[in-house]
Amino acid sequence: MSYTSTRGRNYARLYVVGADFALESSYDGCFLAAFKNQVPQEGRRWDGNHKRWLVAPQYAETCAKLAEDYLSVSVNVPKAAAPAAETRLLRLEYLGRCKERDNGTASAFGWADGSWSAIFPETVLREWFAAEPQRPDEMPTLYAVLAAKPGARFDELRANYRRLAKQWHPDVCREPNAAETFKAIQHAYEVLQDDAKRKKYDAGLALQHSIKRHETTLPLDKFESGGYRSPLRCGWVLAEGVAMLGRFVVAKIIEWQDILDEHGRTMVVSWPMGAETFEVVWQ
Amino acid sequence: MNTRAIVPGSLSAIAERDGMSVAESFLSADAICIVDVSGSMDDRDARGSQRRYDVACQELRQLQAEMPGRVAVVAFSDTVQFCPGGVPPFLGGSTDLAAALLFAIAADGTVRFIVISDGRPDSPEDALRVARAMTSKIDTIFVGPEDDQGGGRKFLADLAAARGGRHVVAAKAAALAEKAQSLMLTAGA
Repeated sequence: MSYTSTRGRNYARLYVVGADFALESSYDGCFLAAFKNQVPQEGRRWDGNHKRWLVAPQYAETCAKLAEDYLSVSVNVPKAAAPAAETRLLRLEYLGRCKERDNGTASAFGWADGSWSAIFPETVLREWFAAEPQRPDEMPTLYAVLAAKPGARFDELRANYRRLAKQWHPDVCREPNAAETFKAIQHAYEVLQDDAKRKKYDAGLALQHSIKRHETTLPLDKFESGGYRSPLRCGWVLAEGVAMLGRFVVAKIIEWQDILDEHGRTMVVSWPMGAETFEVVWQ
Repeated sequence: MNTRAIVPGSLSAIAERDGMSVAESFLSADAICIVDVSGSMDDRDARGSQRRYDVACQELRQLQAEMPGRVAVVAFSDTVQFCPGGVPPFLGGSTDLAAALLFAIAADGTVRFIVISDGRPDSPEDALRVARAMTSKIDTIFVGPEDDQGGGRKFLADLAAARGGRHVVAAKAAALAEKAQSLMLTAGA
């Protein structure tokens, strides 16, 4: 169903597209400025193919009021269906760094199915990769470097080490921090694969955590947000989430597997400094 | 005493120097000094009428400078606190050594413990019970006055004996660093 209203040369249409709204209107500089001002970036997305704005349902009333105020057009707001949770298998070819968004939360964009169509909130990535929130002056634990939980079995640590070492080996990975990350992965494995060193490191970690408990009363969500980089940047990702503004917002990662080609080689991606896009290497 | 300071050779100093976490710097530690910072450490009977606490801090500073990265510091009174910067805060209050040993138990079997105290703990029985359940060697240094009336010196000797460690006296914290160093140079965790 679509609702259209025009007055003179001005027009505005607000209609339902999936779980979102689409807004089409005549061009008016003031209307556009007000729209961008009142509908935050995470609540809107320009759909260039259809020359329309996709708008999150909670901003539909705002759009109708703006159309009334700036275009003198009366627009009815249709009823939208609530976004339904779904499970998708994403061929994730590149996952960027988490950045703080307008709504105060941090998330990373993922290139899947030919566009930046997946959004991974930092909390979801940290949960999957067992990376606790950090204070700005705090370094990731050796477990977090290996994307493992502190109680991880040795075979899990070894499997994660091999996988990450392949992804970050400076010979194939051209990310600016590849050498540094590879070294950190090697160091983490060197400590954690040795029972005595691991026991001692665990003791150090327990002492370190006691300072965190002692010195801060900040809730975890007030710790460092944004800037987190997941240790894996590509893979087949089975995830639960909701479609929003034409993108898939991941709520939970269920599985993450390497992407292999027909020769059994693993996809390794990196974004070299200054490059316009990411590069794929199979090894 | 600036208890937020990072003294040279402390775990935080090593972590900062080598670009690693405090947890990683603990890998090079040989001992945890469990330092009594209860009310009695406030007595001004140490070197040049200083507080025992202040002299103990000076000595710990020297110990860490001479054995960089090898000593972790835990302060205790009726609460317990890990001090990666190497400076124990003065906490006052009572002497809950059992709680301090329980706090440090996460590191049992990885390092030796050196208990530095000037008196009897709140519950000697509890402290000994916790100690007996541990596997690491526990050395003790008595830093109270030579004419100890409260039985603290005897208790520390018993504690060391219970865990196969050595007991030494550094009266009023004098020469504490030297005594601790000599204990650390004795083999075995």
